[in-house]
Amino acid sequence: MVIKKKIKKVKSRRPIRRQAKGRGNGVLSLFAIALISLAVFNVMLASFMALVMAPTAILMLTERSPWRSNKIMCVGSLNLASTLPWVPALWNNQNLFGEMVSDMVTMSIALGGAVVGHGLLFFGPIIAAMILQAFSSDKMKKIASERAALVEQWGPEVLGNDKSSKSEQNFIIPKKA
Amino acid sequence: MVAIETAPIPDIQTEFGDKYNIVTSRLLPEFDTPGGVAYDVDTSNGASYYALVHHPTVPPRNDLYATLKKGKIRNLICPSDRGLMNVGGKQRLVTVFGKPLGGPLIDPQGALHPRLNSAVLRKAVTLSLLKVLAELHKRGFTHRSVIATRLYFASPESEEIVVGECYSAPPGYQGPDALEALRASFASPAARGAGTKSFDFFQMGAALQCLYFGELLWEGREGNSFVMTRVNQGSFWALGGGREIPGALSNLIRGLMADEQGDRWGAEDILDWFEGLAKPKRTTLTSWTMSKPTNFKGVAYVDRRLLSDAFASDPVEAARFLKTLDFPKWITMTLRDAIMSERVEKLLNVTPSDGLTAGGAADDKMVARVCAFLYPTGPVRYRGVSAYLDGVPGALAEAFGRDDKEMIKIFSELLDRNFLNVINEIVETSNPMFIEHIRAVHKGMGFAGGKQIARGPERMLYELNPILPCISQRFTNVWIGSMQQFMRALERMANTSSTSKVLLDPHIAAFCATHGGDLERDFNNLAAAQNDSSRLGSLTADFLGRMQRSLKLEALPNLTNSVIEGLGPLVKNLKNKKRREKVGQLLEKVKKGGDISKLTTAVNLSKMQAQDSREFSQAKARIFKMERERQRLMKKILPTNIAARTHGYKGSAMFAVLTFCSIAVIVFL
Repeated sequence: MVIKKKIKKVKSRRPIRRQAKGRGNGVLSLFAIALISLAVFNVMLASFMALVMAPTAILMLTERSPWRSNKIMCVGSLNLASTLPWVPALWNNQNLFGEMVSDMVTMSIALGGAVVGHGLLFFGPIIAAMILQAFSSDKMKKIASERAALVEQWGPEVLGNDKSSKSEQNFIIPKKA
Repeated sequence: MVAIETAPIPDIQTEFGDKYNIVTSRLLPEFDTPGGVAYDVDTSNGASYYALVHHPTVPPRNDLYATLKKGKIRNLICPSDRGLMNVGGKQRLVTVFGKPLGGPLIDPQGALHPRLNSAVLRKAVTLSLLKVLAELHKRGFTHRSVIATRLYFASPESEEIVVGECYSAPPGYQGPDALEALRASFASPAARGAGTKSFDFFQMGAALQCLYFGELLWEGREGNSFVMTRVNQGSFWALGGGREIPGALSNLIRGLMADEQGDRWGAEDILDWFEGLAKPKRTTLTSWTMSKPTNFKGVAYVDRRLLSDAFASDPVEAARFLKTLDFPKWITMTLRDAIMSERVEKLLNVTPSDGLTAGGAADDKMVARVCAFLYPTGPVRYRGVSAYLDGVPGALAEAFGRDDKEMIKIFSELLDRNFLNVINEIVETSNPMFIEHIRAVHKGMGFAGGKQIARGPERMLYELNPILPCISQRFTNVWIGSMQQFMRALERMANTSSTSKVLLDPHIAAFCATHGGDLERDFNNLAAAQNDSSRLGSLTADFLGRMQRSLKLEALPNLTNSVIEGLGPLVKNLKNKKRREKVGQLLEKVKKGGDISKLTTAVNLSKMQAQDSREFSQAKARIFKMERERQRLMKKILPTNIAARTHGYKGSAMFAVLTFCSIAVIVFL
């Protein structure tokens, strides 16, 4: 019986892993196809893009968390955004490739977008937690007033025999009631 | 012991009570019957009446009253009017009869009327009795109360005879055994049943014999020894004490008092006797004599009827005796003329004792079956009770009147469909009327073993005696014959008793279920809620409101007050504060109007109670949910929290995409 359950668990897990892996590969494949397509028109631009978008590609290969898509979107978008200012110049003149790669400022800005993206990923949950905490306090006040109204309408019996409820009565019910 | 509050009598005398002035100080014992006590009536118009104040536990013959009201019978004291009135501090049913002024032919002390002589006896008495009985029989009734003391001269001057009334009690009810036809005398005095025409003619013969001798011949002639004398010598000789009556009257009385129904004279025979026609002596072929005497309890019985009677009077000993016999062999030896088929043997089911006797009811029923086999036209014998089934309603009422629980239990067991069907199969060839008698008690059978409040013996009583008032102890002072009277009595007693408790009285429940239509379920609900005062109050209000509306009764302020007071716990139990206040206001309004039915229409407490409890549960569930939510919200939200991470990453991604779009726009434009 136990073995059967284990088999079931294994069976149920496999598709999820495949799906996750497949999806990751899919995005990476798309990224690769886009670069190859670009290379048909402009090899130098494609090479430059491959170089500066490396942080995003690494993230695509390594990230396995449930928020993978959001993370890739965040890092990828900022990584791409920081690369965009050099794209028109390189499109028009492929010879600038060497100059750009060797220029520390250019490379710092291009790769800095990815760093900012990671920074956002670090601070995003912290800010979200602060906002949610603020919402919770509001909601608790609302619940307290709603509960007090119910107690007023139905009497303290409505709180039932739940000890936790009674212990919190002072918190919930206004002293007047 | 808790004293039971009784309903007070109405303050105002009824219209009927105002019409007749009963003089309670002037008792008329010569008109007393087992059904009531007679009093003189003072009338302003000079008419002569007497009033019979009915006993509540004796059911009068209502169908006979109806027929006598339609058309009076000459020479019979017929009811003139009846109604409820307050007599002697109690409300009672009173029937007013025209009073014969000539006095009884023989008074209850045995003094003969000076105007009575053999000529009057031969002509006036005989002819009057014949006329009365013939007319009653023509209308499909028997009199069964033709007793010498209940025959009167119509007036002080005339020789016209008037026969006492027979409506106030069931046929043959509590009359002297000696004056009953032999067949009826085997039955208990309260359970003799309607009998046949010939029973009346027997009583006529016995009455004539008493009048001829000028004695109350039945006095001192009671019990088994007298029955034995009657069987051995014949009723005529036994009652007359062996004295002969000379002349033609002797033939008449002998003919009327013949013990075999087939030999007994009827109306035509009496007319022939008047015309002087000699009647050939008839002898029927019915023989009750056994071919071999049977010794039971030291007495040798040769008469089947007496043996049946002896078995019936001691069923335990009879069962023991029967079990020691080889029953089929005993039957063959003693009753040679009896047909004992295999089927009958199976029905009788008398098995020799094997040490594993069933005992109790099974033995009693076995004895009853054997008694029925020995005396098929006799009464049903069961655990000391001898009853004709059509007399059971009256006997049951009598048992209730004495509060004889054992007897009530016996009647409950007796009215068992299977048991009576077996008895019927045993006696059907000799007693085809038995099946008719079963039909007479059919209505009460389904309730005999009922355990619910509106079923059981009380229900059986009221189903079998629809005319009987409610004989609950709460109504000892009042006469409750209908649902209207019941509701008005409740109104009067509302100030002193709890209405809900009154409704839980088994007598009241049974009476209401019988007379009020389909109320059984209501009483079951009331009984089920007796420990839940708020529910009981609500059900009581619903029930009484419905009754008040369906019976179209006037305002019942006291009852309304009492019901509303009873609703106190219910109102208190309403959880919703606003609803509680609203119901309180509505109840105050209803209280002023005295209309209980408004409790269901305007307030509808049951619905409100249900709604309140439903909403209360919903509120409780809501509180529980809120509590859980609060517990959840009270926890500190960290950046590692899934929700925070989800929202955080999503927000970051959106910000990044927006930034990308902005830069793309700037770069390419």
